[in-house]
Amino acid sequence: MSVNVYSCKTCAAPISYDIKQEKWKCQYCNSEFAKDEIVEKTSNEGEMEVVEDLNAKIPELDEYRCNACGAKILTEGNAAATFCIYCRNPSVIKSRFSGEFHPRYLIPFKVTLKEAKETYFKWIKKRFFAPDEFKTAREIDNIRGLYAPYWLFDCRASGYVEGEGRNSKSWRSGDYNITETQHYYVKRVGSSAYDKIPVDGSKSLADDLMEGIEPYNYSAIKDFSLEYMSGYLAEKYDVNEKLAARVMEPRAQKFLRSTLEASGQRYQSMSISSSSININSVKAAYAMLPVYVLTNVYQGKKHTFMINGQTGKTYGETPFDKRKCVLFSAALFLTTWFVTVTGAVILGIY
Amino acid sequence: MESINKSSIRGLVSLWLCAVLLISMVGSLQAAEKQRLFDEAELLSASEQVTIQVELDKISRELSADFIIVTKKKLDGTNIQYFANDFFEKNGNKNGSGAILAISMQERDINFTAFGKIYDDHKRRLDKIRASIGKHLTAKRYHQSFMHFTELVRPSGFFGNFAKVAVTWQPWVIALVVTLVVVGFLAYNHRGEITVGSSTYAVPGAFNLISSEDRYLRTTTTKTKVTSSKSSGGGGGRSSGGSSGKF
Repeated sequence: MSVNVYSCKTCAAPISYDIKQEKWKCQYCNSEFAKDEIVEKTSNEGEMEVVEDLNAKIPELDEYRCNACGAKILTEGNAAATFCIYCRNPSVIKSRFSGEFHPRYLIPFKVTLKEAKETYFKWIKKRFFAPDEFKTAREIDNIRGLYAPYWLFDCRASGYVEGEGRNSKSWRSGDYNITETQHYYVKRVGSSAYDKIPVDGSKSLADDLMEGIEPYNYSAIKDFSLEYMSGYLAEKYDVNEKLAARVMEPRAQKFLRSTLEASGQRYQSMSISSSSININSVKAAYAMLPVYVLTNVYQGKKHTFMINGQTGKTYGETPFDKRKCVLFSAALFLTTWFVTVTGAVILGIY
Repeated sequence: MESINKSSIRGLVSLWLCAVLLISMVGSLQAAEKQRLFDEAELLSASEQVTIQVELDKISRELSADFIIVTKKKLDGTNIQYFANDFFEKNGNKNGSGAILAISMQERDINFTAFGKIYDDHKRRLDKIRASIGKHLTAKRYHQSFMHFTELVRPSGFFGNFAKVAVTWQPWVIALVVTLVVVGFLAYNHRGEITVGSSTYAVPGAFNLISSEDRYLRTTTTKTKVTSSKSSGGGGGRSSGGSSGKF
């Protein structure tokens, strides 16, 4: 198995993808290359022999040899693009992008690491109940750009919802207030189609966090190409298509259910008593989507934040400051009460 | 010169004192002359009647308005609101301010009507005042209920009103709802926003509503009785309003 290094035509140093230029850039001589100008230097071309050595002592780690300095690269189970820990040389492990692991699509990073950090700080400042010391914690060096494995599902959904719709009106007659409610049996049957519902294909990425940074803008989607991985971390999927479909199906069902509920005649209130939605014609495409992962430790507990590498949308496990919440609630309650009473007295509404 | 001056000043002072005394006596006599309590149903003892009459005189003078209480054994089909308006015009005044509390024992009717400035002060609390007095009547505490009337019609200052509003439940509920909504919103956004909706991944135009059924099932009606009825109208250019009910 081989490790790919994309190198500079001018000086042969390794090159990596530059977000702003949308080109590959050499970090040493600043030469820039378009995608079709890139020369791939595989281990076969170089003198060094690269062997995948499945070390018996540490079976969970696969071992590769860095093409730049010859050091052994230790990778975690699913890493597909990584850095040499000695010379920071970006390496792409080609085998982990081949065969069943060959992605169909990718969306390139659009947000730089610096922008991602700024986005995060702006975002965390707006989290009202986050502890103040957490907001100001500047040491977020463990932020990393990652091409996350995703399954993009196209599917059709069809089914029905049924329940009761209610319309009410009230009026006054003599000494009585009368409320009349009309009840209707409501049934909606319909179908719809969905395009590229994303489900992350990695056990180490929490589904709810990944849902929080959606949606990606699919107009920038490209056919997968290994060159983009250079300079980033990437993982191959460890949740297969079938398992991911089980996450996607309830989402598609929910989409159609709410579309059906909102269709046809509208009611003042509606309650759904039963529904059945079938998902069919499911097609999955494997894709690499850009995400920045940030882990902050607060009071001994890890808090993970995700930043969409394309749109900058942020979502995460913000720590909750209970004391702040209680104090704020009490202050707000008393203030509102005082303002209401004073207002009522001044306006004479009582 | 000095002695003449002294004696004339002394004379003037004594004359002035006499005048003041006389005027105040006439004034108090006049005030006491006007009957303000008409206890035709004989709910109060003689001494109780005196204390109520004194209280009614006092607030009438203080607020330069007429405050009248009338109790009837029965009304013989007369609407208590008409009766109260009519009675006030005869025994109170036609164009000024004031308030009347009218009670009929047989029908167990109670009416509180205010006029002019007193109406403006209490127009939003007519039902409350009527109900508050009604509670004492139900418990047969007649003297207490009439004393209560003389207290309730008095306009309270800012702090008095504040205390009145503070004990009602509405501001507490408003404060609770506002707090829950604001804190709920802030806590909900704590992790970030979910912006994906049912249309995010839907293929445009792909939704097809195959069939849609809306079948009428039934109509339910709820009736809630409104206990009080308000009537308000102008009498000789002054504003007035009353609240009637049972006790």
